[in-house]
Amino acid sequence: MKNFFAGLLIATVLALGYVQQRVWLITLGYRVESLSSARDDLLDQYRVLNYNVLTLQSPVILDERLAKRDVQLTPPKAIEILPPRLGAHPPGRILSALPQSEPSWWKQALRQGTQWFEDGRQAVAEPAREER
Amino acid sequence: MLTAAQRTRLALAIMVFLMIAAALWGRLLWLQVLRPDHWVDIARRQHVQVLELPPLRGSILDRNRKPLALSLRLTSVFADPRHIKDAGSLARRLSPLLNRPEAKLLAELSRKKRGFVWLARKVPNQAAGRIRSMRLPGVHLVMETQRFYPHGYLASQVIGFAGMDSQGLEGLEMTCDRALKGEPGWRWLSRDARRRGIGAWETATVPPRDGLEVVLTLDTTIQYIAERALEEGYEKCRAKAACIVVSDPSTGEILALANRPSYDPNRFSRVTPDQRRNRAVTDTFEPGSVFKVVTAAVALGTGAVKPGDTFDCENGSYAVAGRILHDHQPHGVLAFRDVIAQSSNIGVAKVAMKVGADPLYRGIRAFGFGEPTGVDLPGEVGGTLRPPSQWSKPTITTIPMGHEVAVNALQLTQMISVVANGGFLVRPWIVREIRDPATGALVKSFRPKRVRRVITPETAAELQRILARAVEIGTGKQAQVAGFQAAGKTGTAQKLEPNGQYSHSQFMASFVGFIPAGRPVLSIVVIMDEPKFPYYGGVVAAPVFKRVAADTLAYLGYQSET
Repeated sequence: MKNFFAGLLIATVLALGYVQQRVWLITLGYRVESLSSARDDLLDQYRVLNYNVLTLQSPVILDERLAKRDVQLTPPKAIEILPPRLGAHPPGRILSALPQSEPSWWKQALRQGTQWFEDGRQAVAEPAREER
Repeated sequence: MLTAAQRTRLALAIMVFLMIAAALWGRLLWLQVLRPDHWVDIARRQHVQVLELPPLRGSILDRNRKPLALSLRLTSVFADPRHIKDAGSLARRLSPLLNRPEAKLLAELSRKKRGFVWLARKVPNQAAGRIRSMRLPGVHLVMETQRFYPHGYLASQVIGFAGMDSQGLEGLEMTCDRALKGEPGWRWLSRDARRRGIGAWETATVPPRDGLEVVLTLDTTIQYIAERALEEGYEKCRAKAACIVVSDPSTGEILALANRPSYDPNRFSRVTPDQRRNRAVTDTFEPGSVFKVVTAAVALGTGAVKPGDTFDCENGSYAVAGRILHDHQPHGVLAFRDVIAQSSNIGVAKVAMKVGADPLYRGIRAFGFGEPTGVDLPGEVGGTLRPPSQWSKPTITTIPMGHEVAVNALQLTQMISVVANGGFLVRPWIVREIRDPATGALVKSFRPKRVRRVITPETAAELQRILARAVEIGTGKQAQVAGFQAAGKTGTAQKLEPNGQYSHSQFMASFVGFIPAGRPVLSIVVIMDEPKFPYYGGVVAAPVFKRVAADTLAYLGYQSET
């Protein structure tokens, strides 16, 4: 009788463990699905923003914008061009040269607090569509 | 102790329970052991679906890997009208988000017999996000890719465009479609009762293979310089059409190729076929005096003429083969080099007669005329060049000055590159390499192709001097570039009327040249179709060459020669 109950207990524990495992798997499935969708969204946003930067850098678009505002550009004269060693550093190099440090605890707390208010108000990246 | 009646009732109850248990066990056996597949199939159909994973179409990049065409994923909205209860209210809510009239949406949503209707394709991400958060029953979102061209009209006829379903329809988008489109993947996705994805890590997944990147020989900056100069020239002379080709004469790489009229491939549905045509490849025309370069090359190459030989240009009027030839201005006796520099028709006709029909024809063929160049752009036509057996009596005097022969702008680029690179015919090409965007690995690369030697280096050097003279003191003065010696030849050809007569109001103005004259790095061909007066190649096409040459050399970092 003792063995029977012990066996029943073990079987019950194993069955509960199996059920719990399935529940975990399903919960993790939702999580994986949502993270995968978030990753895809972020990749899409990255591509859109990259495209917008390209559009902003395009000489054609720049020309059109300047023409709309009636701004005329002329190429610099030879004397006005700085040799590369004297020229400004690209922004990336300046930023990487700056000391990188973690934001202080109160800044992090403030950021987390404001995130609560910002919930659902994330900026959405849209591909730029120039009106020509 | 049970009575007999009680025992009977108990036995009946046990029998009933046993029968129920047997029925249940039997059903269980039937469901789980004897016919499990049927029910598993039904459950799978309800909960699991195959999800196609569309690939992202590959980008088209310039030689510095700047994107000229790329794909982004946007959301499209569709509905299943059978699951929509209040179509009117739904149409009212969706109309401002999808920017579509309410009545049209209502009409779509009311088609109860259909299980699928598009409500809007490729909507802004913000609108898609709002629709997603509304959780509207019967309304679904799906990701689709859309092609974008960040530089608008830049090289639009070269790149072409891809349609709504990411299918290449024109230009390189069409010819490189196999490499660009990629392969879709698929995965099993389990869905719960609310149709949320649960994840399907236990089942097979085939990831999509994104399209490959196509890297071109074009340089966005040089392309822009060429487009800007061409636009200015085209507007100024009010031409019907225009095109320009900038290439590296030693390798045949096309650095820029532009056409006018042009269009923005981001709005390809609104343009006419006329705007979409890559005229540099698809249009042939009688080249006029720029063709004298070939005549001069053949004359020098065959030894029929020496640079110092003189020709009587008959003071501008010469009766030959039943026709009277004219020069645009009268000349007396000119040295051979000045016959070319001053673009004398009479002088060139006499040179050609000295060369003879067969050697002239063979020489022209050697320059690649009469057959396509083999450029990797769609729709190239080879032009027309008849063999001497089909020539009429005056043909020996008209072909040398670019009549009775039809060429395209790329063939002229190939021709001038022969002179610039020391005598080799090089195939023009535009696709440099194909790469895998995921790994950056090179899938295929293309190399310059020297087709054959056409003229000797000495002949090429002599021609370079003659063409530099044409710019210095001849008809191409407006092609002079400050700080560099340019070389080239102008052309102004009368166009043929439909009745076969040469027009006196419609012309093809052109300039073919290279720079710097001594060690050429750029070959440039400018064609203006039907410019208004003054319609001369030296007036409408040469200034475009000048501007493109000056700006491109500055961009490439070449220091002034003087």
